[in-house]
Amino acid sequence: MSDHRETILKVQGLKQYFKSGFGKNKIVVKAVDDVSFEIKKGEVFSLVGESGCGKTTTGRTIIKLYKSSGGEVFFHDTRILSDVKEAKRAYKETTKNLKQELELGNIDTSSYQAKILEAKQTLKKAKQDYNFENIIDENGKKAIKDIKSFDQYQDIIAKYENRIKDAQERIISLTTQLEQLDAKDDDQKESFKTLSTQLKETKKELSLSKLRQKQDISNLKYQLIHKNKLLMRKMQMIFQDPIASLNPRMTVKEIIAEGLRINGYKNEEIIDQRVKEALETVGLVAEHASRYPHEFSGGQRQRIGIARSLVVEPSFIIADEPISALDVSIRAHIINLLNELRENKGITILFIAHDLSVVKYFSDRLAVMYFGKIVEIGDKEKIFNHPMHPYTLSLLDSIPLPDPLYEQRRQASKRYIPQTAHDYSKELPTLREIEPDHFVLCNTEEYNHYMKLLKQ
Amino acid sequence: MKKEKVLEVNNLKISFRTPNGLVRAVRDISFDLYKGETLAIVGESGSGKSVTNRAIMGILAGNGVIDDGSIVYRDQDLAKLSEANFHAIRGNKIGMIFQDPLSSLNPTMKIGKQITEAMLVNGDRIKNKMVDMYHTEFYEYLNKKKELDLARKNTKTKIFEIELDENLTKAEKKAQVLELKQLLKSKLNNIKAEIPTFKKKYLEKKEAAKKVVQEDIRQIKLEEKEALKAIKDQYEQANKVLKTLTKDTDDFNKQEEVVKNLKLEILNNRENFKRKIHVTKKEAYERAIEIMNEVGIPEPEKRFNQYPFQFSGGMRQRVVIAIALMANPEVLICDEPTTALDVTIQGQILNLIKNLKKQRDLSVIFITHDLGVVANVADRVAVMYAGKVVEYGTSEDIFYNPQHPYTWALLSSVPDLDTKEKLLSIPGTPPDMLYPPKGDAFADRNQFALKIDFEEEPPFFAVSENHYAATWLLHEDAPKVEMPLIVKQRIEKYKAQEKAFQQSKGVQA
Repeated sequence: MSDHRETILKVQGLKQYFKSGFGKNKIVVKAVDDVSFEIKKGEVFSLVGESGCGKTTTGRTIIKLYKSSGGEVFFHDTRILSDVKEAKRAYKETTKNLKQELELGNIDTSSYQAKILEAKQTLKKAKQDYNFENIIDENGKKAIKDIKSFDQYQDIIAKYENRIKDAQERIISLTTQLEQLDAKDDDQKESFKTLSTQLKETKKELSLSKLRQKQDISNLKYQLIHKNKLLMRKMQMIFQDPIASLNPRMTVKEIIAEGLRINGYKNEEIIDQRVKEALETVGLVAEHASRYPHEFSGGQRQRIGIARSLVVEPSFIIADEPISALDVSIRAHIINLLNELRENKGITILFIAHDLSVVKYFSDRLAVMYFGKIVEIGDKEKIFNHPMHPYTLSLLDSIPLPDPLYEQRRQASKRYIPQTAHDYSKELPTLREIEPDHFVLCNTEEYNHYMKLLKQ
Repeated sequence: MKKEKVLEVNNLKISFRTPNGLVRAVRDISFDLYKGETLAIVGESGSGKSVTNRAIMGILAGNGVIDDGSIVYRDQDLAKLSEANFHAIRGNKIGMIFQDPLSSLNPTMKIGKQITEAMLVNGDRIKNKMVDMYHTEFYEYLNKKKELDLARKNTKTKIFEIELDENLTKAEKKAQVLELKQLLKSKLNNIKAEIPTFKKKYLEKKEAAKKVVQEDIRQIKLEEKEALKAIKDQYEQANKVLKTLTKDTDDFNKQEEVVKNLKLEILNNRENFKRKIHVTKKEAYERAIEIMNEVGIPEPEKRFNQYPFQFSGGMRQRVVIAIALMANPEVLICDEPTTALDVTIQGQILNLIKNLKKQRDLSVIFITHDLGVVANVADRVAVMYAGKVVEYGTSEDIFYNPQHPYTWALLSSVPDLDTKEKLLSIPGTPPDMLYPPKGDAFADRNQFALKIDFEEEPPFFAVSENHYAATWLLHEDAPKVEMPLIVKQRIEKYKAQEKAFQQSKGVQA
């Protein structure tokens, strides 16, 4: 069952408010309002809803394209986004309480100071986690000074040691052989030539090995200092519009390699290799690397976008409506490609979409969003078999099918109007579990009604 | 009984001049549009569906040329119609709704102004009447003038051809060119001689029309004066009485009411006479409110004075539809009207278009790439690929009995709610229309392609009376090919559902 799998992403009470205006004219738009969900490894989790419901904003806030207004995000069990406001509030409260305790004489000065220090550190940690990606790991910085004691360092040295030694020995033997020959002698001319080219190649080999070793060591150093950045690298995004999301002034290679360069890759050969691999994974060829985005069709451009996210070897991809801007015939390509990535590379995907038939086809679990809130969340089969929330029903109702007779007799889909659909004057709704792994936003009255429906 | 044919597209060919050569966007397509029916044109982007409809609207981009074929609307060939004549048809007879409702509205203009704009601009009734009167003579005169240019142009191309001809000697060329030039001269002289008579005819007609119109205006003004005279007298008298009364008494209030009503009557009368001369703002406003109600914009009086940004996507599209309907068109072209909208709103707009079609007996051309939408709105469907119609039939034919491999591919590349197996994607990309492929354009991406598909273009084979498909698979010598399993299963499922529905309906009855 899914429960045994590792949780990759955990979102808790995520909030994203957009503010505009001042004083009287101040408007706060709650684009994402208290959203929580978990994504397990290897799973496709979908966010569904109409435009403006906050599904894209949720994705963008998770990957930190926006500064969040509240809530926490855990990625691979590490907190990558914290709630600074909440932390500040908690800090104020604890200090206030501690002061009171001190005045009453319940605690002594030394333990008071220790507790204050502790609270300060929690706050500092929260502040750091809010800007997670840009924080340099202090422990790593200290560790670098003593890098030779690391196992990884020794591994790198051992990996290249033999190669370097071998090359050095060969260079010595080749040079001695060469010295014995006379270049002007016609008989020896041939062998002189071959030997000298061999020498050249070996010298090149040696320098390359040395370079690689150096680069691996610098990468190790980088990894030690930028632990946070490397973790964020595991999370990537695919954007909706394949035209707008690719810089028209950059070649495909530059676009794809940008992520690598930012992450400290410097060797052109390695970058070339990685770009080529990424292009091949998405079904393009290496020759495409030197072209510009405008030379590609919509589907190919979306593939470039996917290659860009794959090149840094992510474990988790946020796919923000990757097929909405594509032609029908090309949509199937991209869905199949994403399916392959998930099967072959075990990549977890957060799929943001408004097309329920694609979501049903592609995802394992899903959440239906309406005006910044999740109204129904759970297992795909359960939601599609027993959709409960009126908004989910209206969404399901409005999918047009390629079946003319059905379409002709179909009634106009009912519009979901929250004011008439619910009566929340007595009790406000909360997310309640109506069956295992199937939650609906409802109050007690609706909950009872849904349970009755479920039994039928 | 055969339905009335509104629009007929015959062998239409359109190409675009680009620095790299001619892009053949539409390559020989034909279809008919009947009164009160919806024809859906389906295809990928670049298949030429939008270009075809832009040609029908006469709004092809500057480098687009109609190479051949005709677009016949009510005995007029739109492909050869001059820009001046097109004004009477574009918008008035054939309306169009575009894909993106935001970019088709002016963000700096109030909605009301945008809806009434066309009506007010074309609203000079007297001038319209005058122009109508000398219209034919004017265009005869213009066409005669055009003939001069045409003759010159034709001779030029002929001379060019002669000069390129390698079989002729220099002397022969010279002689032939001279001959041509003389021929042209005489032709030009003939035409030039005719022009003054046409011009005279036109000017005479114009003068006559002017006189008629002036007489009309005089008549209207006279009538207005007479009609107003009686009321004005009444009004003045009532006013006099009002002045004699003391304020805030019952009598005063009553009299004030009378005066007010009389004043209103005067205004109304004036308005009515004004309307005989031109469309008044009030008239346009009333019509706009009526149409806005019809397309389902709530509180139209309030919405009339708002800007596009104050509308949601669905409402904007309703505004665009309202603008198209203002002139009461006979044909409505919808170019992907729901692609930019949400699913829930898409349903509403589709219903609106369907209802409007029923109420107004509109003929609708619906362009889309969403097969679900097609199934919802269309009576007949034309599937387009690489500038050609590949399959053509009623929507039941296309969805329950598809014959062309491209239709199969389209149907199998979208998942529905029950799809579990791998989607069949269409390999490759559409062909480069700079160099249209020989044979069937879809052959390269078609897993069922036969050898002949790469050599010769397939003609239309009739599947049934109204259902045609251009694929060699329907030829009697072709091997029997089954449609992909995923499509077959889906159709069977739909048919079973339909049967179950009919049975349950029977039980209920």
